[in-house]
Amino acid sequence: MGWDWQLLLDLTLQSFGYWWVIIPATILGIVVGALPGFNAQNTLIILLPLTLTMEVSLALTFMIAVYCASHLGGGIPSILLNIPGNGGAAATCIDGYPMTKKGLGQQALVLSFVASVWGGLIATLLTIAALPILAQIGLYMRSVEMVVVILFGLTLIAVIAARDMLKGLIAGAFGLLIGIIGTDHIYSTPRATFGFLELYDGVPLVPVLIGLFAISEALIMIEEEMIVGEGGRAHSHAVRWEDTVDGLKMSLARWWQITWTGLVGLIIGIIPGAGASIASFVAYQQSRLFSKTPHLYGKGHPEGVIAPESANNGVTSGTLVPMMAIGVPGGSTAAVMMIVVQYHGIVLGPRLFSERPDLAYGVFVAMAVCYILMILTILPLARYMSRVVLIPVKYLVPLITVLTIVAAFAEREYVFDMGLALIFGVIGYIAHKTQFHVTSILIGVILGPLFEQYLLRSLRLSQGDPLILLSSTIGNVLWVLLVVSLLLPLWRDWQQRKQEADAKFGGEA
Amino acid sequence: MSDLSSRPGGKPSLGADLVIPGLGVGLAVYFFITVDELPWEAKANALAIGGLLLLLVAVFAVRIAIKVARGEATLGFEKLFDQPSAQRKRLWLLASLIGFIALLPWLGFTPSLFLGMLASMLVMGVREPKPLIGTALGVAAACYLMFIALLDTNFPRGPVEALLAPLFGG
Repeated sequence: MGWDWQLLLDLTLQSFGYWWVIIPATILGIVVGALPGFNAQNTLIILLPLTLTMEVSLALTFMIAVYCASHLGGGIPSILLNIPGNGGAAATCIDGYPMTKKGLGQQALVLSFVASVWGGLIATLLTIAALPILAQIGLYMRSVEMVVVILFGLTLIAVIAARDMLKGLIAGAFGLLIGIIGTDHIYSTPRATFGFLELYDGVPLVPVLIGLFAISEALIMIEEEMIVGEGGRAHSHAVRWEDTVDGLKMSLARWWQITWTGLVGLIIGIIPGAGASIASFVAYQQSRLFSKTPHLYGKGHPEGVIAPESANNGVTSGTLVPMMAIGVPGGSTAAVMMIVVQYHGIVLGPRLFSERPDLAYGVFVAMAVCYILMILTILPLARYMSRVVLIPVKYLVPLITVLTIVAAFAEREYVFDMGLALIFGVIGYIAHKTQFHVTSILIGVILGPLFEQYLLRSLRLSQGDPLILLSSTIGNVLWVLLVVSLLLPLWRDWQQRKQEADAKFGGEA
Repeated sequence: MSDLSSRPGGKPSLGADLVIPGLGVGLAVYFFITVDELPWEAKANALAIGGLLLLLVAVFAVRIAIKVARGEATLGFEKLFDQPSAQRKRLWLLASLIGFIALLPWLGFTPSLFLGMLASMLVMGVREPKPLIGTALGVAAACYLMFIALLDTNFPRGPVEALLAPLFGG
């Protein structure tokens, strides 16, 4: 299987034709990315009533533009205020803010913009080149392998993204159990529906998403008067965009560093649950390791801004790879996109490449086009960026809660779903406060019905013998990896405790 | 951000950490009851996932019990109930949102949304009449135009929607 050049050309032209959606979505994405505590998935959730009514390729282009731009926008408050707009921009603070303190804030912003766009674009083009191979991977996945893939994906999210592996696993299993509420696939008997007819078709995804992310975040936001403190507000009034050309020159001189750190982001992005936070720190560390001037890192070094920002955007295409190739979302924003696509009756996974190649390839082509249009949009907007953090929480919280509850109605048009969003908002709030990973719960809910379908298919093939789950070579390799990924953190903890104990014992001796 | 998991100078309070596992156990047990008499195909998943969840929660509970027994932690709920003023706001905000949903079938979409926004902003401490009424009215009007007039969604209609229907449709 090779590339269909005609299809790629058509998709590129189609994506450029969506400029009128991409440019406003880019501006929106940059604004929400720059707003700490707010992110792409929350914005996409609020805008669900809009995206659900759009034609699917247009909706995907819109969501991708918001997603990519929000990753870029996250670096703005990191550089100007030392407050990361999102987890992926946390590493940018290390050198971005010292650059601002040296009076090089504008150069740091331009470095961040160019690194984000170039890193994101290179990673996307590489993904498009590798898509024919990635599409083949999906064809080797039968029901047995898919059961293991789903469990492996949830385990990886728990191990990598959650602070506490056991809590991450509990969250994932809790999500899976919620995901299989409803009638069973064969006898249509209701299970765990609490007597609600509205739950016979299963737990609707949009209210779960809204509750776990948007409402729970708003309930936490209540604790603050403003998103940023007084110092941050003063900074956001003082920003300027002089020396932009100087920043561009700095960026162009470091094109190779932008390229390889973008690829680090792509590779890490493909791993479910790894995401931008991990990618940006790994890229920062690797960049420092291979730098000729490692002693300048942490003191306002341009390379220290480039590496995390490029990786942060390299992640964007990587996160979508498992979703498109095997139907398992790599992160929460991918999960929102998956919900919108499923709403249009399209099943993501290996068959998508043969049944809807326009969508399978179109997503990444649209992403590449978004990055090209983004650089033209972002530079003139630079000086206004930091002002978004000035919106008081007392207006933000009512807007977020009321508008997202309205959005919960959109999927099925049941008032019941609005109440369900509130319930999941409270669950999400408790999960946030007690560090149970909400993304694990959400991905569990999304994958629950799929898990049930694949497990049931496998068991029916084997006439109820669960050993069929150990009958496939690919499946067995994944089982081993799953066990290793569970044991490795435990072993590392044990080693660390042993070293600490040895050090203590040595000190006392 | 301060560490919410413990009181200053005190032991970490882990009681709140048991809420999500407790909900999980409750759901798993309820699931087992509802699938008890069903054929194996209908209950295989519930038993597999529910069983896995119960196992994980048991390990988690043992971990907490060991910490509490060693005197390294308490079973308090401070994580969920810190900052009493924020807690009050949170509960009133939830009450106003429940009120909004409850009023929806009776008053219709637009006035309920207006009242819901108004109540939420009052809870959050907005007192100046101009931004209070202006924002609530603006949001209600924008949502009316988008969801009723433009998208023609099935949000419950009331007297306001009936009054505006000849002007904007929907």
